[in-house]
Amino acid sequence: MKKNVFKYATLSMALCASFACVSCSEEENAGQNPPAPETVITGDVNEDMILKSGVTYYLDGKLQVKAPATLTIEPGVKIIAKYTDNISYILIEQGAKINAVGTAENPIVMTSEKEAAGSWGGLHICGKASINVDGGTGRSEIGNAIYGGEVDDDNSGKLKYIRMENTGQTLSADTESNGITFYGVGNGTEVSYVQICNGKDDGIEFFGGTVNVDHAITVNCGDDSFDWTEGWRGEGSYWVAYQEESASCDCLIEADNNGNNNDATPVSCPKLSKLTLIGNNDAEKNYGVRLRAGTKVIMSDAQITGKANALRTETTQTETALKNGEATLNNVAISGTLSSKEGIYSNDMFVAAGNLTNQTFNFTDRFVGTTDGRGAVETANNWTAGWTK
Amino acid sequence: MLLIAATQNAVAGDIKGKIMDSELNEPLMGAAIRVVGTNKGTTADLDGNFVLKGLKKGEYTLQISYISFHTQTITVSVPNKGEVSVTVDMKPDNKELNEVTVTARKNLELERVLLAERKQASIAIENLGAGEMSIKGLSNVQEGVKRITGISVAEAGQLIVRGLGDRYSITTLNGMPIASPNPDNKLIPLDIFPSSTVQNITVSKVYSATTFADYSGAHVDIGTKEHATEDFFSLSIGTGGNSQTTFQERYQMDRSGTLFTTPGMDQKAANMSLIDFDNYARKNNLFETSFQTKKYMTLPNIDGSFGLGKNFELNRGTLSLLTSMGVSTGFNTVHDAFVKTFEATGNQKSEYYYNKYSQDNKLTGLMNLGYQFKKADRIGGTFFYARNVSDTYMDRNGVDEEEHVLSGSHQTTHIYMLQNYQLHGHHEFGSKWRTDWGGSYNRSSSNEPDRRQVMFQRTQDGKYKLFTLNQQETMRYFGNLNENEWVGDLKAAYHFNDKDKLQAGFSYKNKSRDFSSISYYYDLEKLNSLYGPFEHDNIYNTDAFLNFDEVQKGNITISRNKVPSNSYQAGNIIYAGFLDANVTWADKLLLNAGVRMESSSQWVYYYEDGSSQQKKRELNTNDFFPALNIKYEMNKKNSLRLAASRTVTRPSFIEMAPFRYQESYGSANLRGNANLNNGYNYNVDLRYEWFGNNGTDMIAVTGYYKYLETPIERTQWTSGGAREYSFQNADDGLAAGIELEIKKNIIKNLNASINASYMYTNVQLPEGGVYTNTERQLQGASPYLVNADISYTPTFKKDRKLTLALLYNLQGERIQAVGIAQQGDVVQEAINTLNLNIGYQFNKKLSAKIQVKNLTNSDIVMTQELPEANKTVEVERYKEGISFDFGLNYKF
Repeated sequence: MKKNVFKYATLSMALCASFACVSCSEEENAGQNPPAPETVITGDVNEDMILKSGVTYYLDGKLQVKAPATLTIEPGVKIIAKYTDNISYILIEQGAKINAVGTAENPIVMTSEKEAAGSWGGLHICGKASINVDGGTGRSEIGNAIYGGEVDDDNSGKLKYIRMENTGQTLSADTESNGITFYGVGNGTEVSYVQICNGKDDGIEFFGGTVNVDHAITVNCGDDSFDWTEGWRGEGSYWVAYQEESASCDCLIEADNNGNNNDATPVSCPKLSKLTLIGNNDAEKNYGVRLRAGTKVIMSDAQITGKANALRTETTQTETALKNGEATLNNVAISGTLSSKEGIYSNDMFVAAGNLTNQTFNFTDRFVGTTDGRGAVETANNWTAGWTK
Repeated sequence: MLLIAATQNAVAGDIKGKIMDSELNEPLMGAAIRVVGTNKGTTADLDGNFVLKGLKKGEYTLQISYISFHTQTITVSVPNKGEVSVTVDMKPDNKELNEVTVTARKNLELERVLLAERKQASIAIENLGAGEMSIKGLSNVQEGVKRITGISVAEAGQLIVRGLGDRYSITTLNGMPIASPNPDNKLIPLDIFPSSTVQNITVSKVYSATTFADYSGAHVDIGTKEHATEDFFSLSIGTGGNSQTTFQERYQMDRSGTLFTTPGMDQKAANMSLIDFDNYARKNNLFETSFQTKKYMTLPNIDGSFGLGKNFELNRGTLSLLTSMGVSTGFNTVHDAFVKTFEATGNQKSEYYYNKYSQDNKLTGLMNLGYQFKKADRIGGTFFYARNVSDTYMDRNGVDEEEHVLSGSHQTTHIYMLQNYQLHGHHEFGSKWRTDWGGSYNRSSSNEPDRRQVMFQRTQDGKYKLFTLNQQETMRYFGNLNENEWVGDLKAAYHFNDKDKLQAGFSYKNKSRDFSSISYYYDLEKLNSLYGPFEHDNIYNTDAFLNFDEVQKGNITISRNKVPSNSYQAGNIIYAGFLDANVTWADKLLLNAGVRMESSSQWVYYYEDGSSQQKKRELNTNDFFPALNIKYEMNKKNSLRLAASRTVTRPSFIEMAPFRYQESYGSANLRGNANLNNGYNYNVDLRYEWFGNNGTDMIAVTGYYKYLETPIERTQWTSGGAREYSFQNADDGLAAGIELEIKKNIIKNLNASINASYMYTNVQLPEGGVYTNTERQLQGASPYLVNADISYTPTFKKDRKLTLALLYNLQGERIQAVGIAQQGDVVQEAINTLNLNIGYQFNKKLSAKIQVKNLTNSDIVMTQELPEANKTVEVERYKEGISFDFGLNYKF
């Protein structure tokens, strides 16, 4: 029976691929057989493939898009990862593209059959932008795809209005999947309005690259809400990290230059603004934004709370950069005070730069509310409404 | 029961005798006794004794010969019934070394005999017999091969020969390939063969076309014991301990059954659908064990073995039986060891301290049945069984890369099992034609059942909570690998004369493997609020909360991880044929030339990440492997040997296909390479040998050079920032070195030997890798190795004998792990070890031994250079302790 499903799946994939090739347009393909309302997708995608509105797709195992194919996902498409022994994930290889554009009314939803965190393996996008790993390339956590290169304006496609649920499946004996992982993704790629909720591992992780992400929200991701390493230099704005008090979550942002070599270049130095980061007040996992392993950051207009150490700096490289202005924190308000591991940068310097400590915040609807331009979601303009959970 | 009466032939008599070295007044073990005019013959045993049975009444001429002694002929008259005793004094021949042809089989356990074998062999070999192993207290083959020039053993029993790793060597048992149940190693763990089952170990570092061509380092042949002359029955018992283990506390997680049984689980649960599993696992207790850890006092090690040898006269031939069985259990504890990791600019990333409590349980059985026809023909069968269990409990405390303060409790049981059945025969047709045939079936397995781990995090107030950051923190793992191997071998030789011959043969090898693993993860989040905070003691005492009751209540959820890529099947079939000739000129020059053709087909069925469709990677090659071995005997003492050959290194199964693989939970992540091909080795060896007249002295100097074409090297990349290992054909590599070996009888009964090797290895890796050095020495290669020993073996009045041996080993520093991201390589510092072995034979029946190993008890230290930070850091350190053994042997 399983075999039949598989045959059917490949058939429907081939059908989709031929759509894209023959018509190369968005017009309806009248006269062609429309895909069945429930379709299983799996395997390698070597030719363009379209997931059609109105169809529920069941992901069984991998969906690995290879260059030069494009995976197009239409608004309202729901992808449900099946509950099987296998690892289900979507991987866009270098040179391949994903074109997943939903709307606030009809977001694209990727979720799992089993209603629990850690039930599927998330979205992985590999690009050709530069990373700071020796040799210039790395491999994706799953799918053995190469990432990294010299094309900083590389384009891996477009993501908009996407909600991802229940990611964080175990990938190997020591790794779990993030919600979305950007591996060396270039800034020709457009990413906005994405949500990761109820993930077991990180929400969004960046392995180097230059991709920009705006309007991103992670809710109850079991490890770090946002994470970067290997030299990410993109821009991020309007970010929300929210961890419920009862949820088991680690950092709000775990930021590294490179854990194996803190001096690796290019150095991670994203430009972040308009952040609302709210932790779960966990007694042990008590770091909020953790700047370490040599990373730099240009951060502004942020409010960070819900962690005993809302803002933490570590390593000589990171703290020196903050001290001498290569990295900046501007108009940042935190609960408690800044905690510095090396003592090179200090809470006093943080405050002297006009940032605020020991703040209390009053949010409505979990994370809505801004003060003096700090924060991601204004009460008057709740961009999270309607498409997020 | 112990003494079975020998089958006596009523109308025949026996000749019993003793052969003595007239100069040293010592028994001459290994001397060959031949009954002239018949094909009957035998060899003098350890005490110089021999028996010739079943001779009809009459006069017989016995010819007694031994290398470097004058051959003697004596006449004996045998009565109708009963026995006649003779003593023969052999006079050393200091001028001339006799080349004797003996139809009787030699006792290949004895150092003198083996040295003579080595001298006479048409190709360069080194060997070690049971006799020498006993004097030096080498308890298994692994300890034995470490005494051979240029060989060392790296972690996990990996054999390194001349700086070349495990993949460059092969192991055979009585000449027949033997599969390794350890998927990470090509070679079978050599400590699986205890000395009690071994007749000798022959190592040839040069290639001859008569054997499989997949080696460049060494061909290690383990000859199992066979029955020689007198019937015997012996029993040995022993006990021992270790300075940091015995009578000290030891921890062990709950165990089901004993170490003689393989722990299991509910197999239904392993095979049902995932949805069914979730329901089933809530209602049924799937596992036989809990995570509870108990404290014990470590008892002394014990071991016992028996051996039985018996000859039966049967249908005019002789049926000989040898059987031996051994069992041992031993303990080893390592305290306060640490492992640290650093990043390139000098910041420490993680550290943990651990205590490790191991128990090793070994069971071996050997049965050898041989039938010697009246003429030279013989057939035989060998059955070998081994089961090695290593059971390890580890408690770890440390800080991970994200500063979580963690305490873990880990239990691992690893079971290697081997069954080997061999049949072999030797037939002579007339005086010119000889054939040898053999077949073997080998079944081996490597099981890692019920691996368990519980992880706790220390909280701010010094209490503990179950660590639940990842699903895999508290878990069980079951891994299972089975391998089957069939080998057929047929050789036919035409002998032009004593030395010149032409040989042809055909071999077939068929090996298959099946591997799968399953993990079970425990979601314990709810237990923290129900039972937490925990005390430190709860790391060991888990039964109160981590139990089936909580599973039933829904407070613990067990999930199953059985991804298709955690299984693979693989196989290799080789058809091989060879032609090989020995030609001599003027008794000075011996030329051995041969060529082998191997047609190899190797495949792996595997799953890519997230795929349910099986893929196949195949590697089919047809190759010719020429070999040339020249021996030039300058005179009776001095000879030169030159060898040249081309050989192959094939990828192992897990290396040739791109699936993610972990040998066991927590070990390195590996991912093979679908483009990996064979490496080819071009080998040249030049050896000078000098053998003294006394049968004990020798000097050998060897130089070698190996060019490695597209050698297979382990490389690294990062997968999501974490190190992953893969395999790549490097452009080229080379290994060259010089080896020196000296054996010397200093004064009567006092012998010394030393061997030393210096080697240079180099491999060039492609640019663009995450590894720091693109050119380096081979991983595991020590630039220098030294072995030295001295032994004193006097005989007192009657049969009282003493053996005293002191053994020294020096292993140069070597790369343990290749450095990445601008960090230097992790280097294991040089290690000195010193062992002492004392044996005393009270009389013919009773002997005792005392052994002290690792007298210096130096720390094992790993260091890593961090060039960016301009410093060298210590990343690992532990001690192994001094171990003591005491044993008694009684011969009935």
